[in-house]
Amino acid sequence: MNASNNISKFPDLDNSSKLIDHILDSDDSEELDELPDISSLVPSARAQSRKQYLKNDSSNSSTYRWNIDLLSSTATIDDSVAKRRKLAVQNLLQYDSTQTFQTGDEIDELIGKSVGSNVLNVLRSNPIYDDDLRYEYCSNSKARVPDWNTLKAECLKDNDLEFNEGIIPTTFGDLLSAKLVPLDIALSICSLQFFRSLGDTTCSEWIANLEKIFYSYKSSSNNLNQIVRFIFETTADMIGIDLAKRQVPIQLERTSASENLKSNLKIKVINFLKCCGTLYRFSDDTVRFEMIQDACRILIDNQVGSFCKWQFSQFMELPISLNPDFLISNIHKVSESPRVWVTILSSLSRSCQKFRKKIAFTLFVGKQSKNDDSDFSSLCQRLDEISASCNNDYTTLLYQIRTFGYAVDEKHFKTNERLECLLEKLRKIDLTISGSTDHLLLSRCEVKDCIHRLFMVLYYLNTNSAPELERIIESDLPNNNKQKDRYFKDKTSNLSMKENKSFSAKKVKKGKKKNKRQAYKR
Amino acid sequence: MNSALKAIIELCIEEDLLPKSLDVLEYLLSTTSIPIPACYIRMCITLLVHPEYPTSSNIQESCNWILQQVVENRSKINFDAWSFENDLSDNDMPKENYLKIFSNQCLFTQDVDYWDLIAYMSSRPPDLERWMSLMDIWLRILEIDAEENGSALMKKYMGEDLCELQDAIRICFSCFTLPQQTMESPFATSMSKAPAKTESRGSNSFEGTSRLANLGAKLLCLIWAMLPKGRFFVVHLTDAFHFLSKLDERFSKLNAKQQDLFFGNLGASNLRYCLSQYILMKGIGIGINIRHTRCEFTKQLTQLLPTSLPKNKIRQKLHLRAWVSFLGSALRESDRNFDKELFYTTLKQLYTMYQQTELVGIDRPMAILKDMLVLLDISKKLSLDKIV
Repeated sequence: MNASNNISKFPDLDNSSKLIDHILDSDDSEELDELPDISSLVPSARAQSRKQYLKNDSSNSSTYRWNIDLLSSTATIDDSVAKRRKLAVQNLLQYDSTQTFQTGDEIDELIGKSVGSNVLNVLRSNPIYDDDLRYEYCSNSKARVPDWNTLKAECLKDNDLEFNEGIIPTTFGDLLSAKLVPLDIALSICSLQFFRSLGDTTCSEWIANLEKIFYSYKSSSNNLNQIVRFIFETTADMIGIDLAKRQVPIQLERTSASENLKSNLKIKVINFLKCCGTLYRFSDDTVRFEMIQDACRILIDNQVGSFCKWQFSQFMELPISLNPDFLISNIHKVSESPRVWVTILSSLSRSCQKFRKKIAFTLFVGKQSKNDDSDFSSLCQRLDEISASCNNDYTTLLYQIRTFGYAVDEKHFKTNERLECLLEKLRKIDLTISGSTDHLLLSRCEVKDCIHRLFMVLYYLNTNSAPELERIIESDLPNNNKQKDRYFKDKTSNLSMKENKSFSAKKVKKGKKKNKRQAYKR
Repeated sequence: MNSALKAIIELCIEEDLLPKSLDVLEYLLSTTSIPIPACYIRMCITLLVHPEYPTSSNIQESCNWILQQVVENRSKINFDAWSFENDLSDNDMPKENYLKIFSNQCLFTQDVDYWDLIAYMSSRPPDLERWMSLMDIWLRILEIDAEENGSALMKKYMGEDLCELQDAIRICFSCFTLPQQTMESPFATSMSKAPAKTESRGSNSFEGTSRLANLGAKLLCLIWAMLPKGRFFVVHLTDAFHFLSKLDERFSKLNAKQQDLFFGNLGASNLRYCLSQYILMKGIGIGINIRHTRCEFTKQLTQLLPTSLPKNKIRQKLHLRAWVSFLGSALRESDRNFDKELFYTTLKQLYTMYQQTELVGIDRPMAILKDMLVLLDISKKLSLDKIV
């Protein structure tokens, strides 16, 4: 998309269109997994004629077709991988059914030799992607809602007040607006009601009331930090956040499946994140960092993570807009696992996109981004390191590569040499991974897939081939208008025509596919 | 969006790689500012609630995420996508019209309008949860429509000359009452095989009830925001005035619990402020002059002072609830010259007056009044200087 800005960088239109032809043409040829040599892609190959190029090039790029989704969180769980996984599981089951091996150990040993026993054990027990590794951070906590006396002690200076009625949040908000309640009292009542309502829908109104109080409180009192900490910690306790795990960086762990989740835990956790969003402004750095860590942990929690993605991205906008440097310099403390990095990076919202690149860079390289030159050499160095230290741990490699992908997201390189250098490094990593993308070891083909996609995205972004690709597909347009007419005609016709419509649609579909292919061949 | 991207997305759909096409949309939303054509937004809306697509799958999650991102980017919301009009611009149309997700499966090609969807939800169907998650997003769109688009979308839902207004009010109120009958899914007529009819209703739980009530109340507020009013007062014989009288009529038919639910969910809205004035003025039979803007509270309060109760018992209860919400909203809408003493005495007067009536079913509003009184009492006793 942005590649159109860079047409001037790689003027060799002929060359790139060859590649596109090749990509689009590759439907029915056999798959090969090696990446094309850089020299065949970048301008140094300009001298080659098109014919010569096609003759020499035996590579096939069918896997690059979906390069656009490189950064999507589920990019590797695509259909083809699912098929391969299914195949792998079938193969495995056959091992078991033929009973060639006597003991489980023997099977494991044999499998371990060729495909890596860990991965296959996981496959065998559960073929679904995310269930292999679990992380549970929130639970149905037994923590009790603090009572009025505790709250009084926390918030009130004057302690002989009794209040225990069920006031509704709107009325309370009304009184606050007119400034009819002293702040100390308001704070105690409001936090009490907030804790009580944590699992239901009125909670966000109480949070809004709390925010109002904090803003007034900020100017008049100096123990706000302490109160904020108290509210944050109590809420964390109420959603069952495992305080013992706070001390160690996030790691994914294997656990047995837990008992059923109470439905209101989701709501509680979402309200907790909303509450953190409000408290963040009024906290000191220690509490802020704990909030960021807790938010990240909730995100990777298998039970509630997926429901909280949106609220997480909303929360993360605060540290990003309020104190980005603090976040950057501490983000690596959150977790050392590249898998966690990718989950966090893929859950940041659109408005954080520029910043995401910086976070990804810090996580990938291990230090903060400085200037373009030193950044580039750090990236290269790190790429060398990860390929050297990979040691058959392809899952880690996969997530490292994806983090790298985020770090160079939409990046345009100043010079062709830089692009060449990075592409060459990617190609080297790809070559060090033995086997093809059809290999039984799934993590291996996933990482290869990922590298291939990244390779193509970097290439497209920095050359003029993307507009060329678009032009070819655009040229397919004329058929489209006819179809639209037909559609409207069908829509306005009466019900008896409905049958007809689907029939004609099918016919159009077939004819169209044919046209499409011819257009590509042209 | 250019047609190359459309081609990629639709090729994925065609090849049964739906999650893949959603991935592309997610990618576009998270890295570019390309506006998403209406047809894909409608696709996500459909996928969220269509019974042929399973609940709690990755597809649902992606659709939710995409729609939320669309809402977040509020300056570029494509309101056409959310209207039930099918005359879309070229850019908003898919390339491949024949794909069923754009044609007979699509929610917007069904024979329904927006109010039909709400009516379906108010019958508490088994898939209420799915529809709720869609409506959460839809409400945000309508809120932005009211704030930035002059309620143009809501006007479309209301039809020419507000012909849907009556129906809309009835349907919004059905969110507060128990369902009368089961309703067919909006997709029922277009599905290849009819969905299995389950007798089991959706959640009759507290959570379902309160979320539906919240939806109904918010929609009423959005309709209220759309209706043209006078400069300071709601002008007689206008649609806005008519709307308030209809609400008053419907409201008086709810039972005590439902009435509490109703006012509780109106929140701090302008509708709460105006409706409570309407009910009060009608109850004591004075000329109805409803302010809908910030006003001099003291003046208004003296006009309404609770000297006597309406004769009718039902009206008396209504009156009390209206007082509670009027006092509440008056606090918000009032200006600096707000008379705290007057407010306090009014509150006390009201409380003692109703304490003597021995009416049944006014526990909730009385509890709220008491809370307010207790709080104000405490504040007075403690340190008046603290109250800035």
